[in-house]
Amino acid sequence: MSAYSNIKRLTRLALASALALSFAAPAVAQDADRVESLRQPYVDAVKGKKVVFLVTTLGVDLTAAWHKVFTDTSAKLGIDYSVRDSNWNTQAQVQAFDALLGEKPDAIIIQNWNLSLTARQIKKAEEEGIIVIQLNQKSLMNSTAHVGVDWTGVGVVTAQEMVKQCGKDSGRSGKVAIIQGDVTASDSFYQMAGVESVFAEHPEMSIVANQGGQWDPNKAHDLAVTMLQQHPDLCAFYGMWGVMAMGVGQAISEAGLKGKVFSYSNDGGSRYACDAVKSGDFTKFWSYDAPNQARDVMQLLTYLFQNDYTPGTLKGAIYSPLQEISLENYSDTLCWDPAKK
Amino acid sequence: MMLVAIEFLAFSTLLDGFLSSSNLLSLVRSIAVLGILGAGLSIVVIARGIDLSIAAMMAVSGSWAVFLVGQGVPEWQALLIGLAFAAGVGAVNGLLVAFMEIPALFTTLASATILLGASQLFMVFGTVVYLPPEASFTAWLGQGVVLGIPVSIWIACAALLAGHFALARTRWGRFVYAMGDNVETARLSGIGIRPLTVAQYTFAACVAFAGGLTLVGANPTFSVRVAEGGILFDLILIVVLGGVSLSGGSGSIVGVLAGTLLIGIMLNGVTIMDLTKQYQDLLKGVVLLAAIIIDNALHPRDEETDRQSDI
Repeated sequence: MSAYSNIKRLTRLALASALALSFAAPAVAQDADRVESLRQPYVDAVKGKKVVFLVTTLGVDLTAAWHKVFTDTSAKLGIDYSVRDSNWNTQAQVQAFDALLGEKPDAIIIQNWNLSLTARQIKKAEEEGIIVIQLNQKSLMNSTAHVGVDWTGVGVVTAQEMVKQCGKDSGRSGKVAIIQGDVTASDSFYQMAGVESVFAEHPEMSIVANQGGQWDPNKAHDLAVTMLQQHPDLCAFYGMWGVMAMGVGQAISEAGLKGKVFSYSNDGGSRYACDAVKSGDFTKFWSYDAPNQARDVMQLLTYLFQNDYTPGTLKGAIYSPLQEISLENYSDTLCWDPAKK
Repeated sequence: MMLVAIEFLAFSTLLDGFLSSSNLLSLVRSIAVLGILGAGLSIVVIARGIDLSIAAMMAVSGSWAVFLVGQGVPEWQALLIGLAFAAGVGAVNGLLVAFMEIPALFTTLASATILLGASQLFMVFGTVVYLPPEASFTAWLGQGVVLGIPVSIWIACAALLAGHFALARTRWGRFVYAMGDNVETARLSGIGIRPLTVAQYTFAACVAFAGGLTLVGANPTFSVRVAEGGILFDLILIVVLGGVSLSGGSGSIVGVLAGTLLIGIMLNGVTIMDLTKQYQDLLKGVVLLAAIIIDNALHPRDEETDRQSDI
């Protein structure tokens, strides 16, 4: 898929979110029975709402894709959207959130650094009438919605795949190595929980190494090299972020073990993930389709805005459907192209 | 060097798999970039300077060159642009330190921050760079193998040898030691301190660019944030462990090589032991502190060094 068609795709998503509303529609008098009764209330409810996105960094494809959908959708709906980029600095996110509590936007979308960092602010924001949507990385403090991956579920499906390939009757060692992003981040925490729940029923499986790669492909590479040395009969790697886990794939190639040691990972599913599946760097990969996650957030917000929702009265999750990608079902269309820089 | 031998022996005896030849090769490979940067940094430190921007320079100049290749710039042009950029910023660092007489600590701390910010905003537009298939030379630098030894290790050897030759065998090298020993005396004996300073920072930046290429080329993805991780800490650690005094004037590239190996063996050992990052950081911190204490004991303050502020 070309960059152009990708931009088209992102734009299409934004358009879909806007329910194809045309603000330039001529103001002609319409018969009462030809007026779609939800339309005007929708337009009025979302227009002028202030939405702020607290992101860990805009410097990666995943978050840049979210930001693009938020920006485009907001522009079409007349939402006052802005972003506060903490640029890999946890404390900056706390400060930005504290400042927002004073500014009182209508909604805050937050990609949490870890499980506990902004728990207090999330609670306070909802008490003060600000809707808090947690995107992908959730806090221990629940709010109106967690939109994003069911991390425990990802851990479970990945572990089940590892059991299938490395477990009993596979003729392999059952030894797996895990490289987490940051061990305090919610995705790592819950993916590990998922993995451990599956392995608990499969005593033949063992986690022989488990380290944090700090979201860094180079670090993941070096860790993987050492782990491969240390465990020559290692069966599989589980790298908890695709961008980082590409370093693992490289280490496997260098050791001449491509196809012999399996590599599993997941992320927002940009083109590079598909490339890595195609090249064999990933044996199997789960994409949570970042642009559609952002669409889910915007759809939810417009619905809440229409209903004069009082924050704190609803709690729930909107889990992102997972797309499994391997050589068996490979197609270029399973991934999206990051916007050209 | 003796410490290296002791550590090596300890791990060889205690850890299974440590002594396998492929582990040793992977060990050296993973610290090649530290060796490359260590060669650049030690020259600056011997002359009683410091370059805290060296890690940022490594990550930013290397990833920018590769990013440009991804944007359609022919690879050799992109590499020249990257090198020119590194040399330019290194020279600016040197000019600020030599002519404006701003302490190196602040100059390079500021330029590191500027580099990382500029890289996100104007250069690679983010923190992750993908290695495009067109960047085949860079990929070779990072992944290639010549005579059974990874190219990055050859480059580290070349950088260390060049540094050693420059310091030990040239007049320029003797001036660097003289300057680190006592700037005033060096100036009074007619050494052009300012151009020498500019040359040191420019050299360090160019070496950083080479190191950056080996790192960016090593994997399909590269995170510019490597510069914000522990690499700067590791570098100062190897330089100090290598016997390069932070108060200047002493140390050698051979020592830096030893320091690099020491840290490499330690990092490899703790991964084999599957220690968590917290323990690894703790261990490194203790080692650095011990090294600085020893450095202080070996190079006690006297009237002469007291006149210089610490870096």
